[in-house]
Amino acid sequence: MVTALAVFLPLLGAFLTAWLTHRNERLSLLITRLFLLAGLAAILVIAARLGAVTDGGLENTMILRTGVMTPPLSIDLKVTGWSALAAVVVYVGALLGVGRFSGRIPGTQPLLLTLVTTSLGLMFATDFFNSFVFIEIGSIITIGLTAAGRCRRRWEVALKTAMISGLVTILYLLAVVIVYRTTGELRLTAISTMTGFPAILVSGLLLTVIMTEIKAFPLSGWGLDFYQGVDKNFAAVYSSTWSLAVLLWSARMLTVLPLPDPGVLARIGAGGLVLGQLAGLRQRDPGRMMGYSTSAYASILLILAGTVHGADYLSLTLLFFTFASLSKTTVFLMADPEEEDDPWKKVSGYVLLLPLLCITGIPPFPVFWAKIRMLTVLADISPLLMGAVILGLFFESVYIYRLWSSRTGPWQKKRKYFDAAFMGAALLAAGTVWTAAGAEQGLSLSGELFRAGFVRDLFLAIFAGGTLLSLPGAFRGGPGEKSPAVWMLVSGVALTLLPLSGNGLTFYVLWEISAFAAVIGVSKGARPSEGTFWFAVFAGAAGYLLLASLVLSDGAVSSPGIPMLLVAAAALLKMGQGGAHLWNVRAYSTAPSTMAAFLSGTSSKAAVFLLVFSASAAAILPLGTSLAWIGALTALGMAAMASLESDYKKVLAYASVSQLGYVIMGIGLTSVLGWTAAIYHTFNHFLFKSILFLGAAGVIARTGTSDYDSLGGLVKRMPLTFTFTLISVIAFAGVPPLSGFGSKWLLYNALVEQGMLPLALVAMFASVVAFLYAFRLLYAVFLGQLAPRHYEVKEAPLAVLAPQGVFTAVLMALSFRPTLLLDRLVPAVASIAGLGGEIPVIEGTALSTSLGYWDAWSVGMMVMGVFGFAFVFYWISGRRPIHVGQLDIGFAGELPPSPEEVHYAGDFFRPFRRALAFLPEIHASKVFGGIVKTADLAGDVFRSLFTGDARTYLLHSLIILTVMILWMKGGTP
Amino acid sequence: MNVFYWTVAGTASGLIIVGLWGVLTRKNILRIGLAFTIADTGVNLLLVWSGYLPGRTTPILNGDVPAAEAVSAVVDPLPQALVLTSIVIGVAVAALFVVVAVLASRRLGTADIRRMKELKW
Amino acid sequence: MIRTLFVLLVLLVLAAAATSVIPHLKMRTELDGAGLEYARRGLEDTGSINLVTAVIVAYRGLDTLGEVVVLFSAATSVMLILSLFPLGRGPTDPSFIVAHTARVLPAPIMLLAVYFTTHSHLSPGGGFPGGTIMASAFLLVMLGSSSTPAGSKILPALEALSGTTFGLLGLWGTMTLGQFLNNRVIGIGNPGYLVSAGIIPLVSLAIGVKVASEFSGIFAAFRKSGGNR
Repeated sequence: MVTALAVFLPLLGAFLTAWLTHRNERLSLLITRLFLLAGLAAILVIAARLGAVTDGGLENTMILRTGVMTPPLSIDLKVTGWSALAAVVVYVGALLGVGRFSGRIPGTQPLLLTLVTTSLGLMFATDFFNSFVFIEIGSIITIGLTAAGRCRRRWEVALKTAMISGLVTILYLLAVVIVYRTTGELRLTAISTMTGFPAILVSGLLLTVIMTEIKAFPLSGWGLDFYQGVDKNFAAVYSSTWSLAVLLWSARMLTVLPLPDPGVLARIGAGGLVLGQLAGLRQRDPGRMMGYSTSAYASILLILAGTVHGADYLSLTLLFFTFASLSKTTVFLMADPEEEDDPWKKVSGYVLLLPLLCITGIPPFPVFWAKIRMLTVLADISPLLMGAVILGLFFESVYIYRLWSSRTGPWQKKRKYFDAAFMGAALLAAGTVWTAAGAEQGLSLSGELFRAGFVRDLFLAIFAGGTLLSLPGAFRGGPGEKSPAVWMLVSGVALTLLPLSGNGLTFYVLWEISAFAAVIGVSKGARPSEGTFWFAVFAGAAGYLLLASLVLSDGAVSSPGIPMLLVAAAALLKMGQGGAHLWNVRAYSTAPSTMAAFLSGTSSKAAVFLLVFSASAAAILPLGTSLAWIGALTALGMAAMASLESDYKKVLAYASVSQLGYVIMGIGLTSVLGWTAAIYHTFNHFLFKSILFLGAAGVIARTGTSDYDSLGGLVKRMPLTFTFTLISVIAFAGVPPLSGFGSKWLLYNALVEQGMLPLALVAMFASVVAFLYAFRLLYAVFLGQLAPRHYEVKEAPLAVLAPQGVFTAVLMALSFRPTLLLDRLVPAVASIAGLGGEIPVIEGTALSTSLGYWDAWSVGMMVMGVFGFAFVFYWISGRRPIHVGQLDIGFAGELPPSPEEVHYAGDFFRPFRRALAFLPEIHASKVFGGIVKTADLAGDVFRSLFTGDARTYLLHSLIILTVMILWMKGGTP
Repeated sequence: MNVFYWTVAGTASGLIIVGLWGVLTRKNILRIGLAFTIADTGVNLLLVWSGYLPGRTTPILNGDVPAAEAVSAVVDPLPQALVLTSIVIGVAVAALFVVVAVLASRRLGTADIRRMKELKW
Repeated sequence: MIRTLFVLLVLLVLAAAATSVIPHLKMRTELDGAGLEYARRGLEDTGSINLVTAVIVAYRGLDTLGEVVVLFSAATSVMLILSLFPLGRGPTDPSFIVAHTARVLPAPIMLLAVYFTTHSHLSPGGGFPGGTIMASAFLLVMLGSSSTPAGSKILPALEALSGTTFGLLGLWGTMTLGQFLNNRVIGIGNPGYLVSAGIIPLVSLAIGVKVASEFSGIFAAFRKSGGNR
């Protein structure tokens, strides 16, 4: 009885409201809501009775008998725990959307209510012809409501939908004839008993119908047009009701199709996922993006149907499609249909982000748990298939990130908090917590994934310390920026937990949380879209590489061979090595400065951690030389770029990537000396890059600019910032006595020891170039003349100054007593199995290798002595500098050239720039531009399938049908 | 009887192919709608055809057909029930299609489907 | 031209590929499958001597409910769209012949319709044909007058009433026999008589009224929207 009520209550409501609508609009809307609520209550009771939320409850069944006798004579509706949960989502989606849609367009309530009954009916249907009736009702209502919707292109969309449903009708009925004639009945399960050519024909017909209805590539053309053109409020309802119902019905149908080889579904799905999403890459219309995303999920269904079985199939399809539907509903609810050109113009980016991240399946969002299980299954079947799927998912995330990153506007106060869109988002959040709680047993924060010991503790210290010290400055954003503090904290906490993860899954989840919290932090910058987008894309790519490795190595982060390669690639992307610096430069320069400090100083160390810990040294060994060369060339190239750049933050970004090049070089050597140098340099880099970026944060906060040409002379106004920056510049330039020298000395030793002289030469040359930008940085920002508008500038805020002080203190201590660290680091590294080469010896304050020894204390004292002597000499010589104001320049009556030319730091290294003129030709942004362009062109090939002509879409369906029939016929005699 | 049986099937298949051909090649949306009804007719004919048994009568068990002999005297009732549903659905879809097509051609100023592809790629 | 040829090629290849199904669809000489069962036990199960009606209203009543809903959705959609986007031409006066026919014919048409609807379990007919015929009577009335007939006001009420009746008749079965739309909630009586076959005549009537009001609604909507020149 409850089942009958759950299914048919909305229909009774529809009959009632059809009568009421033109008499009392408000009463009709109220009744609509009441009927929906009653139905929701009924379906909740059913779901509870079936124990749907417990283990195995998805398969529990409740039958609603109709007619006389039993099937195959009559028709049953079968409610399983699985479909009951989906039905809950249908009701929720309808309830969320009804106010928006029917509130604006009176007279739509009866159709909306009928759509709910129909959706439920289709999900519960067990009869082949009965399903057809439901499909037709759904199509009719979709056409009707599309035409009634508020959107300029309603006629085009309605016509296309009508034509598609017309074709589906014909193909479906043909299948009905064949099924009935060959099996003598019409139950869905009867289809699976078919054999021979009728089986092939019916499979082909139904597969075409299903792929068209769920909008799987290449039959997704009409779906794309639909989502782009339709009234966005109707799309909100449609996504969670009819679209979901069709997906779940198809999920059941795909399991009964008498295909000769079900595995073929997975290949169709994977191919469609890659090609279809490639076509979507270039997409800029948000509605159409949702269409492409729908087609991605359709392909996922095909993949699942071809590979996963039983209870897993049920839980995976449910996780994927209910949450994707609800997310899409939420996204569409945020749109304002009155804004025809861009319905999402006014939406708040942070509210939009939640459903979008849900769609892309970033942990801990529910789709992620389904995704990783799907990939695990795929990895066992065919790693190639898994690779294709990951690539397709990555393409999908690219355009989704674009959708968000261009709309990171402020929270909209105008909308009420009880707005349907917020409620949708809240439901998603609740679902996330719920599924995460369920999936949580797979996570663990205690275990032996990473060897406990000094090296791990060192990274722990870096992550925790870096977060804590970057945080104070983050509470107030710089000029035009918003505070990234919350997201920095989230990212930092996830990062700090990273070394403690007990298994690969935990590691991956924390890694992604950390990365995407950082992406949100970056989006708080003054002009965020570009940097945020590229950061998100690269973080996404790194994440997917890591995920692939994780899945391939059975729960460890990586294992030798391909997984190790993937991990190395992920780490290189994360560190901006080998040309991937594109994101670092764009993100750091547009992010809030403190966020850039966190990213460059602290967060980038996660990649080093990954490389050092993810695999045994033996696994890295085959990659060693390549890694070393990538690191060396990056160090050199980025140093050159940094020298030629004249934006404070961009210089630091290039410099950061360049310095990490040394780390990669050291790791690539796979020797004790090399790794010691790498980890030592990692720690150094953590210190001085944090100081530099926090210093930059102070300068930018006070002056409001990061342009070299408008800075200068700030030493007089910000002496403390200058001091800290000076110390860190000396440190990273690798000049004695500060700590950067130590790590470079170790690195050169390691290079020479391994006989890699060419690499050593490149590294040394890179150091020289580093000196250029280091000098320019100091000169352009702090030395020279003070610009008149900066006369009143104050010292940097304490919130960034104090952390700099702490970093500097540690840096100084380490500079003069490197053994404080090396005493423990060297034995720890030496104990890592598989590392070759000699082990440096520590005696007192000196570190010695076969090539020589370095006593930081005495070297430091000597250098200090020399400098002290020079300073005393200068001081007693009595010469005093002449102070010249910035405007104190004569032009002898000539017209002054442009201000940049006059500025002493303008085009500082013009000679070098001219000498290196060939370099910009291999500029990474051009390389990436080329990749993007190639992908776009390839995508355009597939995009051009979707000509917009509905007849073409029908022809696609018929061609696919023909090909499938011929193909399967060829397979079986 | 076999000739009759296959003639009907051939006619039905022909109607479907002609209908689909019309749908795929006509430019006027009203004609496309018409082509759909032609194809629909073919499918309905095929449905009825699938329940045909030679030399039998309608499945109504009045005086002419005693209930006891029903099994050997009447044609298959199920396809007839199905075709009823199918026809009604066809009518409903056609009505809606016509309304949408008429309004579309009025509002857009053209009935040419080639000019209704603002949404693409 | 190329397009036309290509379409033709695709359709012909498809048709040629599908011909392999012919040997599997040979003419039957004996009933089998569900059809056999219906013929064997249909009368006993439902009390309807018209087996097609037994299938439509009793065995596969859910399909029929869906069918009614199809009509309902299409009619509601058409009415909604036409009310939002009027066609914009008012009705003109009926011709002499139509006007006079419209006074005479509706009554006999209505009678036929009622017969078809209520005798669906006894003879060819049923809710759908009956309802359509009823709608044609309404259409005639409407065509015969230059204004919208008074009857169109009660159409929505009739529609709601008949639809709800159908739904409630269905739920009655669920409540008493645990089977939605079971026709045996009341006795099946003596087959061959008007009052027999359980609630089949009632359901047919509800369907008939529903179908009639849907179709009439569509006509009225067109009329109101100005589709009649």
